[in-house]
Amino acid sequence: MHMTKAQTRGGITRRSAIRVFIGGGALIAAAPSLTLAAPSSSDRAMTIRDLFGGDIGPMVIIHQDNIVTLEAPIPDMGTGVEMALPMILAEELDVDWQQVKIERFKANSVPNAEGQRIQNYVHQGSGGSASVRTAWPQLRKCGVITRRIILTAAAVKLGVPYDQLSTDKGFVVTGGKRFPYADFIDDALMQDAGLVKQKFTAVDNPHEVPTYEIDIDGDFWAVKPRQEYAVIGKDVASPRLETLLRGEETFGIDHNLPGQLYASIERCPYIGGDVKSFRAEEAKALAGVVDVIAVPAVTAPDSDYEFNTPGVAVLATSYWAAYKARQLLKIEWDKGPQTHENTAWQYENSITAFDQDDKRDLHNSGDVEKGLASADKVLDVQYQAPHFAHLTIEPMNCVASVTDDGCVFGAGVQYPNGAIQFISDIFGIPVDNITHLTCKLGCGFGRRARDDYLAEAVYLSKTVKRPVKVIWTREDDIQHDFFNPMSVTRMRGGVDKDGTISAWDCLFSSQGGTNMQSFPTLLIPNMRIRHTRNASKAKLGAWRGPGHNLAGFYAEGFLNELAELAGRDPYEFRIALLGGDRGLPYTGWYPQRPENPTISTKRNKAVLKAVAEKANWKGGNPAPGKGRGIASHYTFGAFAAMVVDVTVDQTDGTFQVDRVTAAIDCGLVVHPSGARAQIESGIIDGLSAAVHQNIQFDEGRVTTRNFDDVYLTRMDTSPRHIDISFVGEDAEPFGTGEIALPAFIPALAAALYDATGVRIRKLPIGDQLKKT
Amino acid sequence: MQITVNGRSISINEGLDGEMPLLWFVRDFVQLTGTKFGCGIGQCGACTLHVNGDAVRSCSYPVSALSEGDAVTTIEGIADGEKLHPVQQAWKEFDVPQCGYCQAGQMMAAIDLLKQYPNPTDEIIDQNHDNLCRCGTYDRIRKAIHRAADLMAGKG
Repeated sequence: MHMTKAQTRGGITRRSAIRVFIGGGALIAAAPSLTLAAPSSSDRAMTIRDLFGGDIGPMVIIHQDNIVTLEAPIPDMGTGVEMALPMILAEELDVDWQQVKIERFKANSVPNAEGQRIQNYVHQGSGGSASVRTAWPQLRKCGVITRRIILTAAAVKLGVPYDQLSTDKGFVVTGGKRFPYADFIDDALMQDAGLVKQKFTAVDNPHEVPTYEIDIDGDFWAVKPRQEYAVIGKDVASPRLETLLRGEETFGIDHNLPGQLYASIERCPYIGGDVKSFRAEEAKALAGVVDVIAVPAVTAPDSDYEFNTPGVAVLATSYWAAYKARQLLKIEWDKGPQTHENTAWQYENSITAFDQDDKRDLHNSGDVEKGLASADKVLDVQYQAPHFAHLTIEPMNCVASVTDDGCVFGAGVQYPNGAIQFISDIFGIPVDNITHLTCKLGCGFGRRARDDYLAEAVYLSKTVKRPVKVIWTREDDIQHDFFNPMSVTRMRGGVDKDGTISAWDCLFSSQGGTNMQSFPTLLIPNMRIRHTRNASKAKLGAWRGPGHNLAGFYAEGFLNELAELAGRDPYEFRIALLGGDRGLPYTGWYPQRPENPTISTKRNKAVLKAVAEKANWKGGNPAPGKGRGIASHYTFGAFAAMVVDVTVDQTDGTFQVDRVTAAIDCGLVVHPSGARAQIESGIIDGLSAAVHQNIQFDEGRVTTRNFDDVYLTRMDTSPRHIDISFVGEDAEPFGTGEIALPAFIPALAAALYDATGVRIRKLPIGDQLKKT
Repeated sequence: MQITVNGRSISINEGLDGEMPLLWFVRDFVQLTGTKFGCGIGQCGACTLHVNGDAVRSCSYPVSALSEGDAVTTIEGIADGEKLHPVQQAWKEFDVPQCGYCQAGQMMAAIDLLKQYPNPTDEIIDQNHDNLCRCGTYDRIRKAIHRAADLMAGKG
C-alpha cells in the first residue's frame, strides 16, 4: 500500500541520524561535510527590507511605538526556549524587556543552487538539549547585526559619526539625547543589503537540514561583556505567560481550518501488520459520518522515512461522531510477523542475545578478563529496564489542507523544516508551497520528532479534498508510540585490594543503543562495553536523553555497587576515580557536537563537590526507613549531580522522595526560572519512569492502554523539596532538558538501597521494596 | 436546552448526541479551546472545567448530564476582564507552566480545591489535587495553590 514517488534528497536526513542512533552501538552520526552554494533568494536582496522579508533583522520587528516583536525560532515543547532564545536576541539588540512581545518564527529555509533546502540563521529543531547551545552564538550575532543596522541609519539621519552613538534599552543615545529605535526603522530598511555580510557556513546537524549563518565584519562583532547583561541571567517575566494562563495559547490541537472534517483512525495494532479487510456499513450509518477510508502506510521508494501505521479512518463533521463511529468498524487485521513477541519474550530474547557472536565493541581498553581474574572481589549482576512511552500530555494530532496551491498543516512538531521536507518528499508538494502553522507543543520528549501523525492528515486531506483534522486518542498515542528501547545489561566488575576498580565488563542487550561512553568508561584500566541486539521489532524512537536515560541508571548504579564492594564512600570513590583535571575524549553522540568533544573531569568533580556540600553529604542516612544516595551523569555536554533523600514505608515498600539536591553545570544560565524548571521536570519524569513506566506487549502489539495502566507521578508522590544549584556559569550555555533524568534515577536507586538494603537493578521499581 | 458557558447563553440542539462529552461540545461547538483533551477517561484532568461551580472532568461528562440553566465555566471565563483570577495570578508569580497544556485543568481543579479548603495544607493538596502534569510542575503548583489561598484571603 505504498503511494507517491520519492524525490531524492541531498545531504543527510534527520531520520537517518535517528536510525543510526536507535540502531544501537556506534552512536556517532557521521554527517558528511557539505559543500553548499549560496542561497539563490539572497542574490535578489537589494535592501535590508528584502534581505529580512520586510523585517529590520532576523526574527526582529520594531513597531512605530518602539514595541519590539522578537520571534522565537525553535518550537517550545515545555522547554522554555520561547523565552530563552528571545532573551539572547534582546540582550545584544539592547532593548527593554518590558517592551518585548514574543511571536513564533515560521519554518524558514532557502534553496541553494542545487535546490537543496538550507535553514536560515539558526537550526530550528528541538532535540538533544541543543536549542540554547546551538542558537546561542547565532542569536547573539543576529542581535548585534540588527543593532548595527539601526545605528548605521541613525548615524546618517542624525548626522552624527557612528562611533559617537550608543544604545540604551531600545534608544539610540548621542550627546545626552535619546531617540527611540523606531525613529530609524524606515531609513534602516532601505539601506543596502550589503551592510550585512552573508557568510554561508553550513552547519551539519544530523537531525535537520543544514543551516546558513549570517555574519558581519569583525569590527562590529563585539558581544556585550557578561557583567553588563540586563536580560540574560535574570528572571524576567514571559510576555506570553498570561495568554497561556487565560487559555488562549494555541497548541496543535487548537488549530482549525475552515470546512475541516474530523478523523479518528483505527490503526493496525500489530507490529508490521496491515489492514486485511474492513466493513464500515454501521459506522457510515452514524449521524455526522461523511466517509470511511483506508489509510495506507504512506511512503516513498528509496526513502529512509519511517511510515505511519496503516489503518482505517472515519471522517465526520465532529470529532465525537468520528470517534464513536470508529468503534463500529469491523476490521480484519493481517497480524504481521511478530505475533510471538510479548514482554516476557522480549526479556528472554535479550538474555539469549548475550550469547550471540555478533556483539559489537563500543569500547574496549586493557584486558577485561585478566582484570576480572586478578581482582580481589568481583560482582556479576544483571540490570534491566522496560520500554518507556513518551506520554506527551497532548496526544498526537494534525490538521492539514491539501489543495492545488499546496499544503497548510497545523501541528506541534519538533523539527518544522524537517516536517515540511518530509511532506514535500512524500507527497510531491514543493517546499515553498507548504505552510506550517506554528504553535506551542503539549510536550514532545522526542515523540514529535516523527512525522507519522502528519502523514495521515496530509494523506486524508489530499484524498478527500477537504481539510482534515486527525486527533489521536490516548490509547492510540500509547499503542503507536516510538518507544525508548527495553534492555537487559549484564555488569561484571572487580575491585583490587587497594579499593580501586580493576576491571568492568558491560554487555548491553537491546534493540536500541546506549550512550555509556561517558563517565566512568575512560577512567577504568580494563573496560569493555559491548552491544548485542535482541530480536524485538517494537517501534523505537528518541526519548528524553536518548541512550543517556538508562546509561545513567546502569553505569552509575553499578558504580555505586563497586564502591560498596571496595568499602568506599560513593562520593569519595567518584572524586578519586575522576582524579586530576583533564579532558577525556567523548565518543558518544549529541546533535551538532563539536569536532572532538571532551568530558572535563574538573567540571564533573565540581558538580559532585557542589552537591555534596549543599546536601551535607556524609554517606547514607542511618535512620530507620530513611535513605540517601548519590550519582552524576554527563548528558549532551552538561553535567548533573544529585543527592536524593527518601523515606520508605518498612512494611508495604512504598516510598516518598523527601528531597532532591541537584548541582548542574550547563554553563551560563540564560533564563534561571526556565532552567530550574527543566531540572525539576527531569527529576519528576525520572521518578515517573522509574516507578511507573512499563509498556506491555502481547501477541506482537502494545497492550498498555491509558493512564490507568501507566499511572504517572502526581502531586502526592512528587518530591517534597527540590534544591537546585547552578555551577560553572563561566562556560558557554548548554541545554538542560535531558540532563537531570539520567543522574536522578541512579541516585534514587542508591537512596532506596540505603533505606532498605534492596538493590534496584530492575525498572520499574514495582514491589521490589515490599517485605515478603 | 439553554445553558451558559462563561456567562454566555448557549443552546444545545435536540439533535446533538447526548453522549458527546462536554469537552468536545465546548471545544468544537462553543469554540473555546482552552479546555484540553488528555486521556478521555477522566484520569489526567487536562479537561477539568466547572459545572455550576464544581470541577468536573469534561472528557467523561456527557452533555446529557447537563440540565436547563446549568452554568459551565472554562479557563477563559475565570478572569475578571483584565484582572487575572487569584489562581492565575499565583500561577504567574511562580512561573508554573512549562508546556502549559495541562495548566487550564490544573487551575480549574485548584479553584475547586480552594473553594472546599480555603487554606489547604500540603497533605490536603496531596489528597485532593491529582491532575497529571507530564512536565512535572508539581512543586510550583503546590506553592502557587498556597499563594492563591493567601491572595483570595486578601493577604495579597
